Amino acid sequence: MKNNGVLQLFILCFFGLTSTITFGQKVELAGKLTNEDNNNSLFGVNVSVKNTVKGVVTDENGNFSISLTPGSYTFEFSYLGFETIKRKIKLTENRYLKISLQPNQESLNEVIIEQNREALDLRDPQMSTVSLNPETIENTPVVLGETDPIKALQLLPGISGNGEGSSGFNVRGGSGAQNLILLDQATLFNSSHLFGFFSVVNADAISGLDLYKGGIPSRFGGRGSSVLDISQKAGNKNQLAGNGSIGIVSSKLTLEGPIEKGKSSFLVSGRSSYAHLFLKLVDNPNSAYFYDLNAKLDFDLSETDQLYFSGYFGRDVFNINDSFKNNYGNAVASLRWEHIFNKDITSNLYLIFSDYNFDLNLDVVGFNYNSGVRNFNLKYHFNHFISDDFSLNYGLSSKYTVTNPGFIEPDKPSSGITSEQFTKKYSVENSAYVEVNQQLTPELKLTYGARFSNFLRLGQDSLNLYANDRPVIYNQNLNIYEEAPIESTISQSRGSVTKTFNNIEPRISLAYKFAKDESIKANYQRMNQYLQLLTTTNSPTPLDIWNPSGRYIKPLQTDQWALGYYRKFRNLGLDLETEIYYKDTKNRIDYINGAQLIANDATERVLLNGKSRAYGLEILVKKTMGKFTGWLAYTLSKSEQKTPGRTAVEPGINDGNWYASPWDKRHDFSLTGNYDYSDKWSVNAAFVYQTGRPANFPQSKYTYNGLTVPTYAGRNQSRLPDFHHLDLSATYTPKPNDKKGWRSKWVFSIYNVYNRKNALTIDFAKNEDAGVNEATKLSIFGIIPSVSYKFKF
Amino acid sequence: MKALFSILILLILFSACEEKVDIALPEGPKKMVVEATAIQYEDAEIAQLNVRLSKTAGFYQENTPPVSDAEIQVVVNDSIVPINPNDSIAGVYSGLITIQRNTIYRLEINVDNEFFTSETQLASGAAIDSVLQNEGGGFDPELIGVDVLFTDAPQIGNCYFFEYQSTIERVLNTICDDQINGNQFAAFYAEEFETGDSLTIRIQGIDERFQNYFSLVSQQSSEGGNPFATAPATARGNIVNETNPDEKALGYFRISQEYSRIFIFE
Repeated sequence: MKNNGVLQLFILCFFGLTSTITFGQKVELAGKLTNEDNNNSLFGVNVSVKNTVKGVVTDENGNFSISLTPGSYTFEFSYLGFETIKRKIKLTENRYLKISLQPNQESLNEVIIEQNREALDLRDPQMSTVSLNPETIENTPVVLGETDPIKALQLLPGISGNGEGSSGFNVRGGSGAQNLILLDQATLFNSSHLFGFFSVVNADAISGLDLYKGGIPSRFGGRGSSVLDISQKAGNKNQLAGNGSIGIVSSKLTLEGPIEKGKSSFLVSGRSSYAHLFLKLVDNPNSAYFYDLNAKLDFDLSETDQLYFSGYFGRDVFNINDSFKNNYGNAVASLRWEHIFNKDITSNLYLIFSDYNFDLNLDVVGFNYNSGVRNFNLKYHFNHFISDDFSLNYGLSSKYTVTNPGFIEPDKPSSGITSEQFTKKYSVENSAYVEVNQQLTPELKLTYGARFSNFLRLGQDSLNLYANDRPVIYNQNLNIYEEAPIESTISQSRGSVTKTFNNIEPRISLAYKFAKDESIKANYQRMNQYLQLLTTTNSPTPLDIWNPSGRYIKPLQTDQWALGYYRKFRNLGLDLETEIYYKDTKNRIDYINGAQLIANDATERVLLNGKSRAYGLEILVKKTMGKFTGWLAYTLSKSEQKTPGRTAVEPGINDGNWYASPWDKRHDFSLTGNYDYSDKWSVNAAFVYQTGRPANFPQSKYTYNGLTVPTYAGRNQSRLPDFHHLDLSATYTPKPNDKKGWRSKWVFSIYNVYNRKNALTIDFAKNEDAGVNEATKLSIFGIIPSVSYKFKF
Repeated sequence: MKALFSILILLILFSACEEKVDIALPEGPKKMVVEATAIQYEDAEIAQLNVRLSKTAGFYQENTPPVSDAEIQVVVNDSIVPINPNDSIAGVYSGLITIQRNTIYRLEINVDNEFFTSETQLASGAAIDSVLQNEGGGFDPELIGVDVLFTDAPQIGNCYFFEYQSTIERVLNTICDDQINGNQFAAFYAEEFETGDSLTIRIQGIDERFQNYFSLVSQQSSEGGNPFATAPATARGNIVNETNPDEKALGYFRISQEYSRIFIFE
């Protein structure tokens, strides 16, 4: 069983290091802790043994394992918000039991129950991670009253977004395409709806999420900067229940319940926006809306086997006068079989399917367009408990990916468009990993391991070949990079391997608890990214294409080091987390000036190879207990890129000098607070202040064909004005003492209370009416109040 | 096609807030701008080459300083055609050139001790097959528009420059034959036209390099925000500064065949 590592203070010997593997006379008690109400496993339950200092905590599947010398013991199972259970057990041989805990009738606030997921663990080498539970997500005020996990994450250090209306997020100076977003282990390729206003994650359908900014465990790989591991919530195995919310822009409804009481359950959650219906009322023929559907099925097949099915389907739909019809989104499904071999070994076998599809019909031009990416993944993961001080996990994964860069066809007989299928690309990514968790001394714990990744680029129907294998050439005469002419094309069998990449990714973390409430931690990781998102914009758009590494694109590789200091101030109820990091990235793609990626079947002709680096300091102060809770997050960081010329005569980008990444923000500060004023009322506030993003302001101008054309020097040399806003919300629960039946609450929120018009872009152009050149700032949200009604039954 | 995509992304956008702001822009070093265009009207044998020379200026400056006293000529095969300064307008030079297909025209400019050159060839256009009135098509059902039908030449690599001129506005567009090679295609344009309004439609042949150049110029000069914009960089044309290669000259030299039509709305 995987030992999650929060051991109680264990003063064993005065001789320095203790041996980490115990043999001989020990016997083991292992088991699973579940919530008696809904039969879901409980993460973070304290399992302690009376009259000893032994203690462990359950892992995310509710499992624990503890080894003792044979004898009679009183075990205590305690968990905030639940009734503690004591059991007297005579342990003469290894035993396995399932225990369910009853929720406490006087539980104060649901926040506390779930708090365990977010607790600062001084002993766990797992650092550089942010964990959020649904309650925290729900308590952070966001635009239009819609709770959004990804917007909540951006209030924490090291994570930020690109301004209002931009999708995706940036972690430690990495691009939005370097984040691996997993929903029950299935990849979500597009993370937002309606251009970034909402994320694709429905907070009501998830049981929690972990964002690894660094110290990424070996079982994850494939992206350079982060892993966002989202778990869908399993349904209540005992009774039917539901919850939902009705808001100004969108509503959602979740239903859960048993399929076979006590043994299996379902959970279905749907969400949709409907602002476009108001347009229909005023005879406006346009519409823009999104919808998504989450589902989870959970089956207890036997004492040792559990089967889970998890699915998600979401779409964004736009229609402008039936002339422009756009429809895109993710569809993912994963099947997991959890098998407990014995007290020491648990396995999880995954069968995963993931799809992103983009459809466009442009009747005014006369075509249908479709593009997307799809993958099939088989994963086998093992948790292996060897002793209290030594446990491992290891596994294998194989993923087959197909990318469709575009398909275009005429949409009516009179259209002048010719059908064309841009070359589809095929690849397989195999990996094997092992991770060791070792308690070297009671204060020092080490997690180390590696991921071995093997990437095979398969043949495709048509491969372009260029003179000297150079798809991009530099025209010295005109001082510009240009697309090289295609010399020839060859066809390869889809089953053949045309390029192989093998990489070993070491992952090491350590935690040293040098005082009662203080520890330092350090980690190093290497990550390889084989699938690149080609985008020339500052944040990903739905049109962007994923491209596998191969002849013309090398795998992206990042090396990250981090060092942290952590401290609990128990008397104040505060946690302090500080970290510094340095990230080095190789083979980061950049684009020649004027590169056009849309509807381009030979994108290798506009790509240049560069590198980037990012470093920073992150500070987080959290208050998690009491009437007033919240956190303060500050990040001081720098993220820059460099794309030198390939030869002495080529300038590269920005003359081959370092320039700021489009998401580089020197300062990023946020303050979030929640105050439980009374049983019925609670208020939340969030204040964000960030340095403005890099921008390109012109130097001079000239006229060409009657147009005023700006000229520029360098790249990303200017800055937009600073970005800041304050949001407030208040929650009113009319009947706070109701524990059963229909329970509801109202949420009143105001986004951007002082109406700051934050700049999304600043444009420089000639004002046709006034006849003068001017700078115009475009901003999206001013002050926006909203109301939503949330219910539960 | 590619330009159309970017224009359309702009149209998807929500109604946002626009506000004039004061941002100081320190002017960069002055650069030479050469706008040299010769239009062959249908199958005419000669065309007038108009060259406008100017320099870059501070962004908020109202006018563009013209460059006079330049010596300009066009070299084609072995003959040299002088391009003479216009008597009344400073910075404008013109001359007549004979139109020959598949021939390289070399523009040579001597000014202020600097020597600039550029080379180009005639880019063939496409005749306008017909212009049909189109009501309610496009993104706004209230606007009245036209479908301009033309047939693309069978070779790959043809691009076209469109100009729609009316009393309302002048709109410029480009398209290449990527998905329409050899086919008859309808270009669409709509505005708040009324019966009796007249619209001049011009189609000019251009090459791919000019299409890339003009796409950028058009994107960078347009009003209105585009959050999906690429990082802007100075659009590079086809003018070479032979004296100081690092001092890049801006602008473009092109020779295009044009077909035009005047359409009256019913």
